[in-house]
Amino acid sequence: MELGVNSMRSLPWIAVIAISSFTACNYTEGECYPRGQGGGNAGVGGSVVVPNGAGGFGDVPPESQDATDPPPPDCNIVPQSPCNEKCLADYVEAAAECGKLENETQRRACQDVAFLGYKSCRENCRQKENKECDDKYQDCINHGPSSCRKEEAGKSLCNRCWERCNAGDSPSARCRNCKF
Amino acid sequence: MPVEALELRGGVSLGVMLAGTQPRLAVSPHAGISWRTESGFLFAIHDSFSILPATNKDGVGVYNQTSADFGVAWDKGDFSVGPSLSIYSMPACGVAWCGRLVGLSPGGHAQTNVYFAGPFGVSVSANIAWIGGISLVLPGGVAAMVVAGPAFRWSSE
Repeated sequence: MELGVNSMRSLPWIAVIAISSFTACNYTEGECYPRGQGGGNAGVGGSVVVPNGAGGFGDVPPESQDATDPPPPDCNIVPQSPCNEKCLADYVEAAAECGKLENETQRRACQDVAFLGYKSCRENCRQKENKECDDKYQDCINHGPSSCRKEEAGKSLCNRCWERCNAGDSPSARCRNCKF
Repeated sequence: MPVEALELRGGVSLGVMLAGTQPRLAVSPHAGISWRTESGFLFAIHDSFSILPATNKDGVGVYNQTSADFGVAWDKGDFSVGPSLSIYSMPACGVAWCGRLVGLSPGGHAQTNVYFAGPFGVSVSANIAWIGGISLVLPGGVAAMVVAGPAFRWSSE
């Protein structure tokens, strides 16, 4: 059981390097629910909000489970547009404030208002992003290279790039050349 | 400078864990192995497996932390600190949401053991871990745990 002091001294550095090579990572397993509604049977028949809106561009926003067609639960954050990110951040903040209300009726009403605000915010983002695509399309038609206006299979490249833009896809190299 | 003693130890501790906004009871069986030099320097590997009893519909949580500690030892005890790595599956609540978190976290650990009846004594440990990731429940923050309980050791001189 001989262990030299040199190897003992190197052990701290080995441990530090090994541990620091890890970064924290986590995810939510299953559904989540607003704080304060988890005691007992939360999630069964109540207005448990399932934050599904953290998905990508155009995803269905969070919705009450009272809805007739509730979205599948997803309580993990995935990248989305900055505009939608702000909507979600505002919603989380509003929901947190609602969670502080003692009265259940008031709390649920508050959460419904927060959810409606979130839906409205997402819709505004969608309209804003569509307008940006329209502006790029006009720029493509007016100032893009002539190849962008040439029709292939009934659609010009400007038109195809506009469709990509509306779908939330990043512009291809050809689209970037066409002012997208 | 040769290692003077190898020591195995174990025990069961009780305490509190705070991950997010709600503290939880933690029952933590733990075990460790340590090497002690003649000068009193200590290197130890600890593993603590904490069970977090159910308090809501999300059920029981488990939180395992392994650490590599360095410290000092004396006849009747020791004290050590070091980096740790935790793996967990546990219910938690953030500011707005609650749910079950699964993840991996680096962190730190400190532990002291005092033996007052032969190989039997008391162990107190504190852990802190960086919680973060894509969970909407706890996308960032720290988890802290303090537990204490009876412990025993077996030494090989």
